[in-house]
Amino acid sequence: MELDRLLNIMCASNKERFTDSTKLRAKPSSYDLIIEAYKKNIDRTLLRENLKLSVEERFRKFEQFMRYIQELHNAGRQARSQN
Amino acid sequence: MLGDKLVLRTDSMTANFSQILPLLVQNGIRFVVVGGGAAVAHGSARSTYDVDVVYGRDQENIHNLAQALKACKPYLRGAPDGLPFRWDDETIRSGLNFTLTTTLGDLDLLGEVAGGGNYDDLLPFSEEMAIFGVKCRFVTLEKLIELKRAAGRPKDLEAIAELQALLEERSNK
Repeated sequence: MELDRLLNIMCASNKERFTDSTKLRAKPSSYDLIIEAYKKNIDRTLLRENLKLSVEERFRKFEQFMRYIQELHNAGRQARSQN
Repeated sequence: MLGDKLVLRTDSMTANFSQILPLLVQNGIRFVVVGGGAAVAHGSARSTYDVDVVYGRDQENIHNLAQALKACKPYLRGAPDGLPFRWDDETIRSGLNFTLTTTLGDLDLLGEVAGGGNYDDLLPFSEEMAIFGVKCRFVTLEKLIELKRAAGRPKDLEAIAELQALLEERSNK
């Protein structure tokens, strides 16, 4: 809710600066407010675990994670095709 | 000028760093990894679906890039099949940023990025890391945050938050 409110404030004050639906040219202070709001929900224990790994280990972990996501997507696609 | 009519695409939706990065390095290509790949290198836990690199646009590098990727059948991502797209030196020289699909996965070749400039501008803000048996350059975490902010996209705000948290955690170590 807080994020929605902040985004609405930013949109209203910067409406004339939008170039298209994917670009948002907000004042830096508005950006920072939203970023700080997001930061409260960051799982820092996960980041600390990743920082213990080597760069290659981070990529191996990433690829394993993405393979898992792909399996989920495939399973969902299969389930939808059967319905 | 006719290109390949038949395009072989990968169905994989993963960013294939383990194959694409060594391919680029082994073919002598000068590049800096940016985007989600750089974020992963620095410890990010977020997903990314393509490999983003800023490449040098000198003649030799463009030629090496054209040769290295030829076998991967690069094609414009999102474009209809059958367009006369040809991957060669002339195409790369005539363009700047290419969002490609290849047999090794999606690859974004960027000649310039907002907030970072071209390869030569970005090089001082990159660091070499050993990965998959090769050494390649990744944009620094501080610069990656700058690039994300300069891109100005709403979807990047959450990513920036995570990168800033990473910077803080790294400083606390």
